[in-house]
Amino acid sequence: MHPLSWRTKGFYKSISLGAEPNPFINFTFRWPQYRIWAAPLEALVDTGSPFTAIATRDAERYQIPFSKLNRDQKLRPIGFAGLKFILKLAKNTELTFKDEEGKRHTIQYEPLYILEPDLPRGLWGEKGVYRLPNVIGMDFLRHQKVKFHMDPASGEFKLEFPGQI
Amino acid sequence: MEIGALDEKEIRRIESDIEWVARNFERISHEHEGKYIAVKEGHIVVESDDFEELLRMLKERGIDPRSVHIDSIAPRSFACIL
Repeated sequence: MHPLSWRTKGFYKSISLGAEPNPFINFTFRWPQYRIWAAPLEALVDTGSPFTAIATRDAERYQIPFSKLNRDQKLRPIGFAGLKFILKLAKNTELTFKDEEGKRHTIQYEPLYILEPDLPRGLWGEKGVYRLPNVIGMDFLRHQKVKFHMDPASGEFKLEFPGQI
Repeated sequence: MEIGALDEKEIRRIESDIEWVARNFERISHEHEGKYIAVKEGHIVVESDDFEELLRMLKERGIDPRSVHIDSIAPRSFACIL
């Protein structure tokens, strides 16, 4: 490990009963524009996702107003777990991770998306949109030069960030 | 409470609750299959089949939904490829 780099420890958890556990990570989400000062959240680290996004469940409970957000015009609605979502842009957000020594590191990251279901609102619960987790995708891992250490059999999972140079 | 206006102690408490669910997921998932759960200090304080109902129940009990960890225990039938 490079002396300036730092690691954060993740954990494994299943998305549904009986499914294989997936790697998750904790972080604190900050979005001053919507007066979210520090929201401790978890996210699935998903190498199959090209995007990093806050899912509908946390967007709803933090009262993020979907209608006030701009969609990313470059992108059509995306499929996620068999459901369609519109990617709404969240600008000037910060994600803070705690390293293994307990020190917090803040990253300003764009583009971060908010997942708005492409469904009538009355169907959101029935269709399971609130079941889906926040996602740290390949865009974040690549742009932040994050290395991935995972050993599902032993339960070990860590992300290694390069730190300030 | 202002949205997300948590102090360091509250942030650590919610982080601990996220970790508590992960550590105990096997047991919790069998006991609460299909539910949405709200967790505070290592206890499930409210659960419901319906997420919006869970938010209502929390508010009725005077608990701000932003002050607890909320998780989904999706049923077996929800298994999906992301």
